[in-house]
Amino acid sequence: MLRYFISILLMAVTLPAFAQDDEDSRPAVKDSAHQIRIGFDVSKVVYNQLQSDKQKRIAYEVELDYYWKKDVYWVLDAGLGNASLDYTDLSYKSDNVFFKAGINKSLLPRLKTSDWDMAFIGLRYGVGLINRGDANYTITDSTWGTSSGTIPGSSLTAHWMEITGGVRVEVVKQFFIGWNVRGKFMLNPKQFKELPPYYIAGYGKGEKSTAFDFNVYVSYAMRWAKKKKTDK
Amino acid sequence: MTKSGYLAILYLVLFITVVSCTQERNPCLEPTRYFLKLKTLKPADTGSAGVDSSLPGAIIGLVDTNVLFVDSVSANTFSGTLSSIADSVRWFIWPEKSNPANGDTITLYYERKLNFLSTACGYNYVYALTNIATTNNSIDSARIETAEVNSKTDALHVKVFY
Repeated sequence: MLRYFISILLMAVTLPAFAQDDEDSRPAVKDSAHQIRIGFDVSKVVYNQLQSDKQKRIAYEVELDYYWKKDVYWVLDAGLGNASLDYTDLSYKSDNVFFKAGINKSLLPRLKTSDWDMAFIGLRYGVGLINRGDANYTITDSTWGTSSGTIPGSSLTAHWMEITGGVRVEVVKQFFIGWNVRGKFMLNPKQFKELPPYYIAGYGKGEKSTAFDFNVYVSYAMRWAKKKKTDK
Repeated sequence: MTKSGYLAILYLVLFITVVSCTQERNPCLEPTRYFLKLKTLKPADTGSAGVDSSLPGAIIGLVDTNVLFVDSVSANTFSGTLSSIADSVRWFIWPEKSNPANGDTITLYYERKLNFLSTACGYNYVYALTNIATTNNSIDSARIETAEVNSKTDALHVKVFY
């Protein structure tokens, strides 16, 4: 899975480069405005509708980014979700909130001051605060029959890093549509060896130390002019 | 890249989203039952290691059940199960079918520990052998070689000396 992610990320990085030959001669666009953009991951809404009762994973994600300077954006992601497995041999539920912070670097130089389209790569640190409920298990043995029991619930914290890439296109003034692909690497996988949550919103499957994810964002941007520096 | 290019990739990502979320539970592809491996030996002239010794037509199974691990097999290494509901189990070991009077029983005592495999496989038990008791019609002695009975398939757990 990681190999596919790296391939897609490389594609996202290299495609804009083909278009840059003509753009190198253009003068750099001056950063004359602030922009804050808030996006909602609509793919998760679709995804949430397609879950089965036996194994369910629900997530909602929003992203806030602020244009800093020189095609660099500060980014905050947040969201929540829950998951459940409901099989005879194992059934349990979990829920979590998550927060991520990081940066995006646009690989497309802006063509003019009103050009906010971007193809980017980025880095995130993520943290998930998880409540895992009691788990009921049944062990079936063809010789000895079945034995069952309950594992008490617990609170867990997941830490992970992400590399990401994607695009944002301003389809209508101040409204963007775009996508992210994300490769994620759990920083504390040992904590999740013993009955991890089936799914951690913002990360992915709790029992995997690496995860792949994608988002489709619909975003709205607010802009205001930067104050001009005055000579004293 | 043009805006239509970006949007084409966007549709591709949406398609992948829909396809990927129709997955069912992953199949359990790992063993969920672990087996105790037992080896039969004769005492060596020197030392305590012993010399491999095959039983000519072994029948091994669980006492008071109709479960047989082997039936009339000439071998010196045998595998069988421990109980998932009790902390001891008794096997019978006949060296050969034609002479059940030479048969013995071996009682294995152990601690069970719940073991999480994966969300696909759920839980199973791993075992830690604590003691062995045998009858002595043919068996001279038995000893624990490796106490932990788990996913390691190359471990020898018990040596039985004839």
